[in-house]
Amino acid sequence: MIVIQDIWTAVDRAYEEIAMLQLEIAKRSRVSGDVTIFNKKQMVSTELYAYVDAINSISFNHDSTKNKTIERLYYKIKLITKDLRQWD
Amino acid sequence: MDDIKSVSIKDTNGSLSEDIIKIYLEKSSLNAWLTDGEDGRRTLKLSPSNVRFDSVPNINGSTYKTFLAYNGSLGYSNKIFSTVVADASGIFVPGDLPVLEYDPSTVVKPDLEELEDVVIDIKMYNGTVDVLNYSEGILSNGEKSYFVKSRRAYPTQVTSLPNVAGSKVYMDGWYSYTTIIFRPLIVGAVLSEGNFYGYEGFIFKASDNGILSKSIEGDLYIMREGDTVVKDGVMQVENADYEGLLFTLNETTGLGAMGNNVYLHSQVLVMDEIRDAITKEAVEQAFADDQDYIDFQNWQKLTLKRASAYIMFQNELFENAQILLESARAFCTKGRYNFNCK
Repeated sequence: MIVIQDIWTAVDRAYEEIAMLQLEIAKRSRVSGDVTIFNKKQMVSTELYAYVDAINSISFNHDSTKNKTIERLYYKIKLITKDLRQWD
Repeated sequence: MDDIKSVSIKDTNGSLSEDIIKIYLEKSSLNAWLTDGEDGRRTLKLSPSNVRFDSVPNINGSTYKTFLAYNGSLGYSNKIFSTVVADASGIFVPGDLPVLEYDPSTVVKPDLEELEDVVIDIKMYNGTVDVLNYSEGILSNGEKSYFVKSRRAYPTQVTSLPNVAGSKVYMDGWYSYTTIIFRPLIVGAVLSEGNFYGYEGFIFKASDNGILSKSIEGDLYIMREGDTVVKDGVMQVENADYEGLLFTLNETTGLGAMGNNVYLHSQVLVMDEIRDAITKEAVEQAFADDQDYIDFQNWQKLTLKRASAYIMFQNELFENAQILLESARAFCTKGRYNFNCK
């Protein structure tokens, strides 16, 4: 069972992860600003952003089904960020 | 009752002939190509090229069902799954091997909420596929004996890093699983000499023409039907419970297949082709034209860069924020998203 603080943490961590990934991309393509959409870092940051966007659009603690969805999104974010840095 | 010939379904102590069902490791299992239909849509076509279907026992008139499946991992639980997205079935006809067609527009992505319910665990065990081997030998009393066993063969292609779950190795990617359901035998079925049949989990070759009368202690007796020789007309019952079969195959390797008189053929295939076709289909469905798709990708990139710059700025990492904004400038000059962006 997750609580609202977990979700906030997940969103914050996801944004931080996106920022770090994008910074690495930007450092390499500072002039053109362009990277292929299939660049792995780009894909990961897109995925994370999609999860964050989804979490932000769903109300928490209003509906058990939606809570379950949010929980899945939470674990998706946690899985990705845990791969890249220490989570807890 | 005339001659009674026995066909042992036990192990043999005789010499073994060469395997007749074989997957050639050096070749791709299936040919895949895309064709443009009249409506301009591309259809993925698969044609068996690697399996000697001509030597598969009793293939004539047997039922096949093939699945197009995707192996992947569920991000939130890291559970590895294989989900069937399309399937085709039919009856084998000699000399006219099936060409399996998959229209990407008909490929159905399971609803995320229901994904766990539609998971079908059809896996590649340790990166191998199970193949049924047929062998023929001579028993000590001079009678012929036939023995079927399963062996393992390596898949022809490994195109991505494997997922590992316990002692099993799975690979993300598109797979095609073909099951061939041999004609099952029932008591009273007419048998033809030299043909292969599935019976109680074994595949055997009839030693003579006749009718299956009964099974005694694991041995199968075939009675000659007088002077009448019946070459065909063996009863066939389609096993429609394919999902059940696949579940049975899970964790059972070849035994599950044998128990259901199933020859299982599973291979990695068509990675790029099917992915491209499905992506193209999705883009066509979602965007009015290709430029819209490019614009969407650019919008995605720009959004991520702006959000990242915002995060950096909030954390007082101003230099990093500047780098991100500078890298976003190329998109701004297109003037499509924010005319004030400089």
